[in-house]
Formats: sequence, C-alpha cells, structure tokens
Amino acid sequence: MAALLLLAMLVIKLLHLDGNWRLLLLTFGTIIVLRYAFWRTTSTLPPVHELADFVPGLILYLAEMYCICMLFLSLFVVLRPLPPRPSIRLGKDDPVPTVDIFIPTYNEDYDLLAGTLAAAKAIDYPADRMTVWLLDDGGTEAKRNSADADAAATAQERYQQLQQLCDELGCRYLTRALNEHAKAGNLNNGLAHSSGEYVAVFDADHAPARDFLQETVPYFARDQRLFLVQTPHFFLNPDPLERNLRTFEVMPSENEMFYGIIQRGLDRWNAAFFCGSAALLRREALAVTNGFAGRSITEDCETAIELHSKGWNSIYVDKPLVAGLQPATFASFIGQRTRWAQGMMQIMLFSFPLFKPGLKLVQRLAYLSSTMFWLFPLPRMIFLFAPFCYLFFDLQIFTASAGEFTAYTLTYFIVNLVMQNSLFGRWRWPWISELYEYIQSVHLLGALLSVLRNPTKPTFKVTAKDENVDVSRLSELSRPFYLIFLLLIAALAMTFYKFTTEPYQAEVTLVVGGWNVFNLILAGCALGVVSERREQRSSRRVAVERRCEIQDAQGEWVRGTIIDVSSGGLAIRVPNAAGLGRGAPTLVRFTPLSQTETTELSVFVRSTTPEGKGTVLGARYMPKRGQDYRLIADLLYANSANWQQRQRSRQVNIGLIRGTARFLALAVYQTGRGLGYLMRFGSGRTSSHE
Amino acid sequence: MNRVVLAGALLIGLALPAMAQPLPFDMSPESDLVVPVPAPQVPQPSAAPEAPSVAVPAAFRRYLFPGGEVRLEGEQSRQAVVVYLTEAQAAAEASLHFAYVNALVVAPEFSQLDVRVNGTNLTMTPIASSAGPAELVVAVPPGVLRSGANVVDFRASQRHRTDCSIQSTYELWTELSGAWLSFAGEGLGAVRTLADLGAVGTGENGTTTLRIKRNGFADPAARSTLLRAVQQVAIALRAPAINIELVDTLSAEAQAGTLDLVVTPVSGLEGEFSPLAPQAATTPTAVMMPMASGANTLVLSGPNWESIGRAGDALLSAAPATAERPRTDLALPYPLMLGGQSVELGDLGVDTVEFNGRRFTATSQFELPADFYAYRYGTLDLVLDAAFSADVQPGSEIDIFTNGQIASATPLLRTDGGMLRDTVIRIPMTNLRPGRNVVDISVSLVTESDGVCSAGWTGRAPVRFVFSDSTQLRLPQYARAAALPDLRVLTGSGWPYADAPAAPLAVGADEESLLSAMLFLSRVATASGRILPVSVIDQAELSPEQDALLIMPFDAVSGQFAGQTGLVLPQARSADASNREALEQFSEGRPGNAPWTAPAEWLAQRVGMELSDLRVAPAHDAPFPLPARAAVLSQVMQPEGGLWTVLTAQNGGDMLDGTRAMMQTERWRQMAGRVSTMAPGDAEVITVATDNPVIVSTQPFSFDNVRLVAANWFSGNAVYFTAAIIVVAILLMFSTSVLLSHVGRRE
Repeated sequence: MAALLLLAMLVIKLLHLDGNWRLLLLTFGTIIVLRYAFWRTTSTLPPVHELADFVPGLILYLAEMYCICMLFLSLFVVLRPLPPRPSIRLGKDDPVPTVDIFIPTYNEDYDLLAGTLAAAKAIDYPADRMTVWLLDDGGTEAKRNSADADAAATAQERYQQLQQLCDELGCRYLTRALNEHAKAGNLNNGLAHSSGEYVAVFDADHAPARDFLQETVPYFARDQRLFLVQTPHFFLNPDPLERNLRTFEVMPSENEMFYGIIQRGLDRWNAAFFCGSAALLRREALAVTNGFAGRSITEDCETAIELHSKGWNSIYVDKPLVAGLQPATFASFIGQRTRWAQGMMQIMLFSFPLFKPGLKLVQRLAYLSSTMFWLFPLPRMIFLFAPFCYLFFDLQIFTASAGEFTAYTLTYFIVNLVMQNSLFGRWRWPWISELYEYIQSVHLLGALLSVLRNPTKPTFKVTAKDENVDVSRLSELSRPFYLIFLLLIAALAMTFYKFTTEPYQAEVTLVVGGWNVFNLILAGCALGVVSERREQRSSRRVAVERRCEIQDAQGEWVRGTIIDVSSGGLAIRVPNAAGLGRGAPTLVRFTPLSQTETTELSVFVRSTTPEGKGTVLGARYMPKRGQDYRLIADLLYANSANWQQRQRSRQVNIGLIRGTARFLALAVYQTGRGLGYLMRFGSGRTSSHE
Repeated sequence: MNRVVLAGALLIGLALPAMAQPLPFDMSPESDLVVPVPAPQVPQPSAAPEAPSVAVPAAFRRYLFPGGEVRLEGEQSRQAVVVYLTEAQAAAEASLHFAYVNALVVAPEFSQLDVRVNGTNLTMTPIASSAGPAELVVAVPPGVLRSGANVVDFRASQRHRTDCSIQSTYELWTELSGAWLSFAGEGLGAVRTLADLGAVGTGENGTTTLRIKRNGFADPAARSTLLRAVQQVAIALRAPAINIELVDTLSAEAQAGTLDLVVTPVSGLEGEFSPLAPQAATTPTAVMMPMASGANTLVLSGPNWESIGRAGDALLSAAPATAERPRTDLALPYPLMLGGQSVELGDLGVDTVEFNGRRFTATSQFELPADFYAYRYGTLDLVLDAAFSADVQPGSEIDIFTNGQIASATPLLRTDGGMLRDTVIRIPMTNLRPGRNVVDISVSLVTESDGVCSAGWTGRAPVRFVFSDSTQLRLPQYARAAALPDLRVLTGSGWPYADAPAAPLAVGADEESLLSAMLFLSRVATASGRILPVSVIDQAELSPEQDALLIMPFDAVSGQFAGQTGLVLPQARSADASNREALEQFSEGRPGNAPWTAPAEWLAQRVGMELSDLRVAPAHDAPFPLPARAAVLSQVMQPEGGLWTVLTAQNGGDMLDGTRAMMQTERWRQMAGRVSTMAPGDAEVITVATDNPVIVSTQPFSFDNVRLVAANWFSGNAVYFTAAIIVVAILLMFSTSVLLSHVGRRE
C-alpha cells in the first residue's frame, strides 16, 4: 500500500504536476507519515519498566514526533503560498507620505555605512518626503565616556567621522546616551526623534535598491490596518557554508527558502513577520506597542506578533530590494543564529503563539511553526546520538525488526524527502537542510538550553558582517565537529564489530549502522564547513554592463564599459590600456541612475588584462568624500532586477536523485578537505585559541 | 486377555441380580441419572461352572492412550491423558502398567520419567531402556483414583548423553506404549450409569468402538433420531474419535473400549430388552442395560422415534462435555477466549519450571469462537515472565508456534538483565482458527557453558532458565464474523449448524452413507462438544436458501443439486493424455509458471503477503473435480443464502473409508477451506482454500466490530484497501482545495 502511494507520489513529482496534483501528492504523503506516526506510537516504544531503554526511547520518539509536527506545520504554512505580488509604483496623483529611513549601527565600519547611507539616499522618492537617519549605537555618550580610554577615543572618533559623513550625504546622525535595549532601543530612539508616517529599517549592511519605497509605500494606502511590508534579504556574499563548500553560485542560498516560499506562505495566513531589516512599517501601528518590542533579543518577530495580535496586518513582497552581507566566518554565522534561536525561544516562552490572545487560529499555527522551528537542534542532536545507544550501550530504544523498520521507517523517510523536495525543491536542495541544521545544532543546543534555564539572560549581540577570512584556517568553533566525527567513526567500527560477533542481531545492527553512516556523511560534510577557505569579501563581483568614460594617462576621456563591480572596486573594458598601468590613479565617470552632485569617481588601476581586442582594467575605488559613495552605491545597488535574476538562476529543483548524488560527492570531498585542514592547521589552532 | 474378559463377564453376571429396583425415568440432572433397570432374568454364563471366579485373581484393565501410544520428545516433554472410572473402579486396588523404549542418546543418569495420577507422583524412573521396551508396574496408592475423570500425566525430562547443542535435543525421545490401569476385583468393567459412559474407555489399540444394532433405520425420523443419538453418545464417551459399526448381533462378550448401542422404539424391545418395554412404552428411556454377555450396552428407547431423541438428551445432561469432564486426549484446559481476554498459562496447565537444558518447551491451548475473523491481521500477545542465569547468552531465541506453524521468533538481544518481566511477544494471529488452538512455546538457550560442553554437562548444568506460570496469553479485541465457506468452522465448532434449531440433512439411502454420516457427525460432536440437530429430509426437499448437509455418494446426488455441491466428476481422460500432461508439467517445473512469479513470490513473502492478496477480482471458486478413492468434504455458499456442506465420494465405499481416515485428530484438524479430501492411504488432508468467501455477520452491529472486520477483509484485499485510501485521499485533496480557496489571502 505504502509502496503504491509512494509510486503515485513519485509519478506526480516526475511529471511536475501542479495545482491539485500537488495537493494530492501531499495528501498521500500525509497518509504515510500518519501511518508511520501511528505505528511508531503503538508498536515501537520500549517497555516502561526497562528504564534504561525507555527513557532514551521516549526522547527519540518525542524528537521524531517534533519533526512530524513541524512537517505538518510547515505543510500548513506552505500549502499554497501566495504568488509573488506584481511590481507596483506610486501613481502620479497618489499622496506621497513622509518616510523615515532608519539605519541602526553599532560597530560597522565607515565604508560599509557610507555605502548603505549612499544607497538609501539614492532611493527613488521625493527628497523632501524622505529622511535618512543613521542611528549610531557605537557613538553613544556612554561609549564616548567609557572608562577604557582607548575605547572612548575610538567611539569619539567614530562619532565625529560619521557625523561628517552624514553631513556630506545629507543624512541625519542620531545617537543616544545609553545603549539600552540594544537594537530595539536604538530604533525607538529614532522613532522618538522623527515624525514620518512610515519607517523603513535597514541594517547597516543592507543597502536598499532605488525602487524600495516605490515597491512598498503604495500598499499602505490600500489597507489602513497594514503595519508592515517586509521584503526579502538578498545577500551579495556567500555564508560560510556556501563559501567553504563553494556552492554559492550554483545552489540556492539558505535564506532563499525562507524568503522564497515560507514568507509567502505566511503571507497567505497574514502572518508574514518583520525580519529586522528591509521592511517598511507604519508609525501609527508602532505607537500602539510603544515602538519596537525589546523583551526578546529578536525584537523584529516580537513586534510583529504583538501587532498581529492587536489586529494589524502584514504583507510580504517577494522581490529583493536590499543587498546585504552574510556573516563571513563560521563563528559569526553561529553567533547570528544563536541570537535568532534564542530570541525565538524567548518568544515561545514569553508569549507562546498557540495561546496568544488576539491572533487568529491560522496565525497562531503560522507563528508556532516559525518559533518552533528553532527547536531543531534538540532532535538533530538526538538523531545524531541515538545510534550510539544501541551501538555502544546495547540499549533497545526502538523496538522493531529490520523488516518493520524497512516497511515503516524507510517509506516514511523517503516520503518525507519527497514531500520536502516537492515543497521546497526549488529553494533547498536535498540534504542541505540537514547539513545546515547539523552545523548549527552543535553550538545552538547549549544556547537553547541556556534560554530555558534563564529566559531573560541572553543579550543582543551584533553579528559581525565585515570580517574577512584572510588565510585558510580552521574555525575556532571547529573542535566539537571533529570530536563528533571521531565518535561516529568509532561507532562505524563498532557496527562492523557487532555485525561479525553478534550474528543474531545482524539485521538490527545493519539498520542502526546505516543510520550512523548517514550521520557520518553529514558530519563529514560539516568538517568542510568549519574549514574556512581564504577569501576577500570585497572580491565578490556583481556583473553589470554600464557605459563609462575613463581618463587616460594624458587626461583624455576614453570610452569603456563597466563589466563588473564589487564593494571594493570595479572592472572596466576599454579598447586599449590607454597608457594606464598598475597603481595609476585616475577618474571614471558615468551617468548615475539617481541624482548625484558629481559623476566622477576616483579610482586607481590595480591590474590590466588583455581580453580579445581590448583590455580589462581592474580598479579600486578611492572614495574621498561622502558623495563618492553615492556613485559606488549607484553602481552596486541601483538595479534590483539584477539581483532577482541572480537568485532565479540558482533556484532550480535538481531533484532527489541528482541532489543526493551531489550531496554524497560533496560530503566525500569535504570530509577529505576537513581532515586535510585539521592536519595543516589543527595544531596551530589549538595553540592560538587556548 | 481372554481370561480377564471372561472373568469380567462372569462377575457382571454375578453382580446383576443385586441391581436396584426400577425407577421412573428422570431427566433432571440432579438425580444420578441412572437408569431404570428392571431386574433381568439373566442366564448363567456358560463359563461359570468350569471357572469359578474365586480360583482366578480377577483383574480388569483400562487402557490409557486414546491413540494407542505416546511419544515424548525433547528435553522437557509431557503428555497427559484422562481416564474415566466408575466408582467401583476408583475404589478398587489398582496398579499402573506401562512399557517404554527410548532413544539411545538419552542419558539415563540425567533423564527420568515421572508419572503422576491426579497430581500425585507415582514413580520417578530413570529413562534407561534404549535396547527394548521396559515394562513397569506401579501400584496406585489408595485414594488417588476417583470416580469420574482422572488425569494420568507422563512427564519426561531427557538429556543427551554427550551433545550440548540445541540441535541434539531433537534426537531425544521416549515412546510409551501399552499403558493400562489394572484393577483387582470383580465385575469392575461394568458401566452401570449414563454418567459413567466415559468409563467405557478405549480398547488396547486406543480406539473406542460403538456397535449399533441394525434396526431398519429407513424412515427419516429413525435416521434423524439415530444421527442425533450417535452424536450424544460420542460426546458422553469423551473419546476423540469413535469407531462406529452397524451390527446385526450384539457383542457376545465384554470387550474393552466397546459399547453396544440399541436404538429402537418400544416395539423393537425384544428378548433381553423386553423388561424395559413397560417403561419405554410411556416415556423416553436411556438405560445402561446389564447384559448376560457382560458387554456394556446402552439402550435408547421410547414410545416412538421422536421421543427416543429426548432419551438421548438425557445422555448429555448425565455426561455433558464440561471443563470438569475433558475429552480423554485433552487433559489440560482450553478455555474459550473472547476478545480482550487474557489467561495465565498456569490456568492452562503449564507449570512454573526451573530448567537446566537448552531447549525449553511448553504447550497450551485455548478455544476461539466459530466466528473468529482476525486471521489476516493483528497479533495476540504472549506476556512472558521468565528469568535466566548469567550463563545464557544473546542469540537465544523464543519461538512461538501456533497450531504447529511458526508464528514468531524473538531473539534475546540482551541477557544481562536476567529477567523477562511482562515481556510482550507479539504473535501474528495468522494461523489461529475457530475452535481449539494450540500454542507451543520453545525457548532455545545459547549458553557459554554449553559451548564448552564438558562431560556430563548436559545434565549437571545448573538451572539457567525459569519459566513462570504467570506468563499470560492476551487476546486483543478481534473481529467477529464468519467467512464462509470454511470447513474449519464446521469441523472445529459445528457452526453454523449447531446453532440452528434444526439442520436439514439429506443422507444417502445406502448403509455406507448412514455410517459415514454417523462417523462424520460424531466427530464434529467430539471436536466441538456440540450436537448438530440434524433432521433427515429427502434430497428433493433441499432448499438453497437454507443451511443444509448432504451425505451420499456423488452419483446419488440428483442432477439438480450436483451443480450446487462445488464438486464435479472428473472428465474421463485417456491415460495417454494424463501421462503427457504430467510430462509437460515436469519439464516446465511447475504448472503455470510465469517468469515473474518467483521474484514476486519472494517479495510477497518478505512483506508477509500472498500474491492472491493483490488480486483485483477474486477468483471464482471453480468446481473441484472429485478425486478417486477419497472422501470429499465440500462446503458451498449458495447464492440464495444457504450454506451447504457435502460429504461425498465417487462411491459409497470410498466415502466410508475416506471418512474413517478423516477421523484421526491430527487429520481432522487439517480440514479447512471449501474442499477437503482424504483417502485412506493419504498422509495429509488435501484442502482447497476459499477464494471468494462471503462474510456473514454473527454479532449485533457495532462500529468496533465492523472496523475490525473491515481491517481483516482489507488485509486480504490489499488492492481494495489501497484504492479506498486513494479515494479518501482524493476526497481530502478536494476538500482541502476548496477550503484553501476560501480561507487565507488570495491574490
């Protein structure tokens, strides 16, 4: 029966049938998952009086039930996501409301802020109706008067530099006395000092595209109870996993699943939530909650759930309108995820979504899905260690014969994969979720437990985005991964030992051993993730094609084409090198898309490469004034259509079989690379970090 | 032997004059149900003058084994039999005689035979007679035997001489034969009351014979009465299978295990029986008649045939089939288990055992109702309480057999705990059946010390396994419905005929048909403990709307009904053609073998299904060609609603021989499906499964039961199940789709 349903599901999937067929596939899958859950509940739990078996058995069971609950919750969320909304613009005669653009910062550097501020200023909106605010928490009075003289001096310098930058760019600089309530406090300070009808929030590393306000403002006129228009976060650089596994260019990014389908699904249930940046909010609504909520360390989601519970609405616009930066190192990536996980746990504890008054049932379920997702480290770790119970301690925590296991668990497993793939296949390749979950779980588990111990303890830690990995090395958080890998290898050896010495339970050994091998593959792949490859952030290039002129050695303007840009420089194709050599300073001019005071940008040439008939000049920006950043921002961020296209090119469902094969190959290679890094950098790491 | 019988006959003859006065016939169970016996004019046995009874020490034998002999196999084995004694026998001085021979490999120093009577240990003897039968005589202490049922329990504990392997335990056996109780005293063979009918016992070869005096039995009323009476007598005798003969003359002398039966209206009471006439002329009469020959003779009489039937009923109230009065081969209890019930094995006669061997076995039995319908799904639980020593290693295995088929094999994966407390072993109910079920538990113990196997270790090993009688069998709520036709239901429970007020039976006019009918019906009665209330009708009166029985040679079945028997005469074929067919079959391996059959069967076996479970349209139950020289039992569900059971053969002789062959318990239990056939030479019953059963509801409607019945039906019709699931899924899909277009945002 299960086999037949599975077959039907595969047929539906292979034929790419959509609409009700997709629903049918999910229904079949649901039936098989329920069948598994029933069997698992009624037939596989160890007897209660064998406590050594029962307790771990129950834990494993609960972990599985959590996964099944999450499967159904996410199924509910993405059952039929809203299709992307058509692009809109403010009409000619529409009223133009006033907008405050908040860019909260804490420790981001000058260049980064300059780029973001410049991009914000370039937004296509009447200048008199829009104010850009730099909300600096790195230059607060408390910091400037810090007891630590060095720190105080740094803060003071930052305060002055940024004030000057804002003056040059026509932005408002705002800081406050104390760093209370972290980001939420900073934003609320901004609210207190401004008066625009709407508030846009961009993280310091999220540079908005020119059409951000055009694409979002009109929605507020349509619904007076709308408090939020959220847009996706689009990243220009890879996260550590993508960088270290070299999947950035080909595979959809991790967050694309969330922004590509889950937010759209949430949107259907009016439960799209605020993600801290790249969103436009209504001041009137924020006034209801006294600004941004600051009880948890994920103020964004907390604010959204509060407003939803008071009857306000949100929408999600599935078009990348900001370009941001991912944390560059594995450690900062984990730091970021720790904050999210802890914050979501705090929301679970403070205002459990299922029982939150004011929310509609569907919103409760949607929020439950969003918050409960972050419990994943628990089951992931349980699945990792469960085979050890049998292999090392000979516990029977899952009472089933190998045949039953095949009939129930294997079909469930495959059906689960098929369902996940048909739901998320375009945005998430097979096994990648498991990998992401695993690499986070190792460190997040402790963080989650600490929230449970003391829910108010976690504090907001700003994720560093501007780091570079200058040399290849092992991440400072890599040690547990190697230990786990070692354990799994030991378990593999134990599998062989048991298989030969205990023939009466060879089948069970084989099943549990197979499970362990799956963990081993995952853990091996993770070794690659924590082996940081050397890469300069600024070297991430975005292809563009813009006409420009460049001044040659004689001061003549030569026509050329800018072919790609990065945050550090750009490449220009010219008919000939025109006497420009390495290290030569020069000027580039082009027509910016927005109004700027100047059109000339100083650069210096770092390389010349002959290409066909012409030459490609590699040049680095030499920004001198704030206004220069407007030009750089114009090159980098002006065209959001470019970003969307880039995402689309990666969003291909490669299918289960190809995906699995790819993952296996990746895992084998990365295991080798991870072990290689351990040989090369292992000893150095221990000496420098302990 | 002759002498004993002679002496017995003589004693009965002498004792008779002392008999009580005639009493009015009384059917109430309280009375001792004896038997109004008029004082007979008994002629002196001719032997008396020559052999004065005082000269010969009188002895009377009661043979013990219903099957003739008993084989005890394995390390731990047990066989109990029931022997019914009259009050006089119980009071007499008695001794137990038996002979045994054992396998050469049984080590005498560690093996013993333990004989218990009613729980009292009589002897504990080393098993040391591999060369030839050893005969033993054991005196039975006074007071041990009692009137009514006595349990004689033979238990062997056997150990191999040299081999400590589990395999070697299969080589251990002891065969018991020629077991009897010998009573000193006179006239002890006489059975005087109806309640003592069980004391007729068995002959030396283990059979109980019922000799019925021919008495016309031509008209339907006579036949109905006779056929019912035979069942009642069979139950009262408490023997598993009764050998029935139609005779012209009554026994000339008393014979062990033989009962003469006279069934006649008062008009037929002549000669020796005429003293009964006055009473029989007015009331139904059932009497154990003291005969001059000394043979045990039962007379059923009354004013007419119909009233004789009521005389027969007195037999059942005097000698009912109750738990206190077990069948002679079923000494241990086998209670009826309904859904949700559980029973401790201790209550099924299994004892707590401390065991130092390597293969422990225990057997228990229980009964299931006729409408048990859960053989395709579901499990029954064995809740095991046991303990084992540190010597026992992982890899030991608990095997459960149901009705002789392996049902579950549970390896012990861990033995460090030493305890199996409330350990649930799930036993698929696949081989369970309506009627009596046998569950065998076999525990194979792998131990470290057996691996070493030092000299004498087979017997000297310390206790390594304890099996507790608190171990339970637990039945789930199971589906109750009948899937007909199913011969098992009839042969095991007598259902549905036993529940009906009357079961129409068309029986052939020839004597073979009548005998076959008596044999068959008596066997159903001894197996189920119930009477089929047959009423003999003419074949022409058969109605397809009604449940009915047909017992006659196939050529006697009228053409009109032949097509409704589920049977057909084989087409005459030349020997040449059948030879060619056989050759072709041989060359092709098996008939009708498609290339994909083998892998498909393998796969199906792995997932516990049969290929037939996957069929879409059930196969039509094609008429079964009547085999030569075999009796055939066929059951057909008529489209009009009647369930017909047909016992037939190509001719009357074959039918009678085949029916006699079916009677043996082991074969009787093999009868199943819609057709079962048995020829005298066959080792096994050939059965034809029902492909297209009709589900008949037997219980008041309840959702629970319907669900369980559906579960069982779907388990056998996987394709329909899948189809049903898909239909439900599609409905669910559409409702979700409709719901989705009404809730949430749509843009």
